[in-house]
Amino acid sequence: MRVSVNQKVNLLSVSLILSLGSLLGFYFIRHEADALNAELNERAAVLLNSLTTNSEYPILIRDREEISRLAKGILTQRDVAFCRIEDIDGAVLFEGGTKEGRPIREFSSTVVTNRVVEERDEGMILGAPMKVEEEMGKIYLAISLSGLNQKIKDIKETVAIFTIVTVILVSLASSLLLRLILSGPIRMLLRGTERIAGGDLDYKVPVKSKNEIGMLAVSFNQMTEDLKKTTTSITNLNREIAERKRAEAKLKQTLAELERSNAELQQFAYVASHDLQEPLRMVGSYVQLLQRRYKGKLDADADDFITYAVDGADRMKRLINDLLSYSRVGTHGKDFEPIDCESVVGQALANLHVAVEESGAEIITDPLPTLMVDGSQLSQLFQNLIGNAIKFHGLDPPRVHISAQQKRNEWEFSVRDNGIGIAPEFFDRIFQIFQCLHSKSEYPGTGIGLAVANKIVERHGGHIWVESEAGKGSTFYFTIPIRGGKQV
Amino acid sequence: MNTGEKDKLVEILLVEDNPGDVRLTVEAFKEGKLRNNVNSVEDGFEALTFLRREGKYASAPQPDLILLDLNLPKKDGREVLAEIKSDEYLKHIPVVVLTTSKAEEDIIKTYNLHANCYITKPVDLAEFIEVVKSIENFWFKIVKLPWD
Repeated sequence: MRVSVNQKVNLLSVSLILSLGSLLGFYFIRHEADALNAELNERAAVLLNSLTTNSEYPILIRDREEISRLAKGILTQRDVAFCRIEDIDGAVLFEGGTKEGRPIREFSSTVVTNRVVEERDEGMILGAPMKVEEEMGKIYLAISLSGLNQKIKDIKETVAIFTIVTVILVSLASSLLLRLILSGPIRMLLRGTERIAGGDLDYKVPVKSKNEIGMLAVSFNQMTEDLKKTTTSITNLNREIAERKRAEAKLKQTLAELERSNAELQQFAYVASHDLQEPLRMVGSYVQLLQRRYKGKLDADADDFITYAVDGADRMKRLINDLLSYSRVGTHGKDFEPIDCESVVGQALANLHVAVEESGAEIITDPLPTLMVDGSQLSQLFQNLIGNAIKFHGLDPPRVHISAQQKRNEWEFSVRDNGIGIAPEFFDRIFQIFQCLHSKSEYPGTGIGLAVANKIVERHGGHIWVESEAGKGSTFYFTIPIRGGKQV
Repeated sequence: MNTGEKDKLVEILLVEDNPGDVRLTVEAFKEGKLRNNVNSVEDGFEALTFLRREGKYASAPQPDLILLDLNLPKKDGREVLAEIKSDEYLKHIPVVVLTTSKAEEDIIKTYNLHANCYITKPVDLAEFIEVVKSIENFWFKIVKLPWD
């Protein structure tokens, strides 16, 4: 059963008032009863005294009539139930009323008379006569207690009724007062919590007093304020998380699109360069045929034009071939398998043997590891780097040093030369496709070699970079991560 | 090839849909040493009609050598190859697959269909002419063929 604070406080105050009222009533009743008893005793004493005084003479002279009149007179008095008058010898001079059937209290008194005597010694009067008190009878009086008891009973009832009425009134008043000072504000607080629980964090509980309830309301409002702040920050946090998630999803989508478009681009580059080869073959073949059959047979201009056309077709053929090999890195790669890098370099050098012999290059190869790679691509990579090292030589014959060292979970390869070097501002550009630092007449080339090298390294999960100073040679570095499989 | 038949006319069937390539091949053969006649057809269907001497090719000669491109309209070069090599009267004719394709699967597939050799067309004219000359030299001077 749910008992409200109001009810509890009410119950407490009612029981307090009830016990206080009962205590007060009890004392009041006792006090009243004592007073009534004393009054009764006093009245009885007065009655007894007057009867005793008045009946002195009649007793003395044995005037029964007078005694009877006096006694009857007493019996008519309120509450007097019984009266008996005896002489000194115990003879009953009067008896009236009854002691039976009701509660009584008995009083008695002795009737005395003053007799003057002369003290004589052997018939001689010795002095002045003396007054001597002499007992001559006894009076018994019984006073009925019915009236007293009735009165006490009445008082008890009055006190009980008064107490009950008081308790009722006081509890009504206290309940009203409680409602005003306690339960009202508490109910307001309760309503406040309900509203706040419902989400209305802007709600303020009105503060009407400066007592504990008022302080509670202030604290409550403070708590709501704090809660609002916390809720606001949580809301902000949630919003931020949602935004971040959205951004992440977008990033993922963009990445997927990028991957797709990249793949499409590679496919396009491959298909385009492949399909471009056919018409180019026609153009190239027929201008060559023209040159073969008609060189020197037309005029000098015609010979020049044909030469330019043949040259252009030639360059385009190389470009398309390079583009094809560049796009092949991504689209036509082989699976990685354990390959001895020394044999890979050997293969590259075999492909370069003409350039090596012509330039008188000195090639030094340190011991190289066996790694999980695409062998033909790695060979292409070394071929491009060593080829460049030979091609871009300075005045001295080219000297190329190939080495590798293990760094944590990858191998770092280096191809060092003593060639013309590269200025630092070109370090990034040289790895882009079709970027040449030199004119075609100085160093012929399409600018594909390092772009292909870069792509091969990227496909193997490594990275490539160069350290160089113009005129002092270059060192190309690339890393190949160590993959699962047989590693030596 | 018999030395006594120096002036024998060599009949070649060129199955090629690109007129530029046809002409180029014809021109290359012109630079050859043998008297040759290059008959060209544009698609696989026509090639088989020619070989079976049907329709307008009723009086066509039987070629001594077939130069077959793979990517052809109507009937693919591979189908033509398969039909030639399953034809009692044609399967003895050497078929040289001459195509731009370098694809490994094309090479494997055509050899499995009993192509006599597979040659990728060189992009450079001079090389192409060399290749055509080599074909002529190999098939008509070095190799002994059953009807010689």
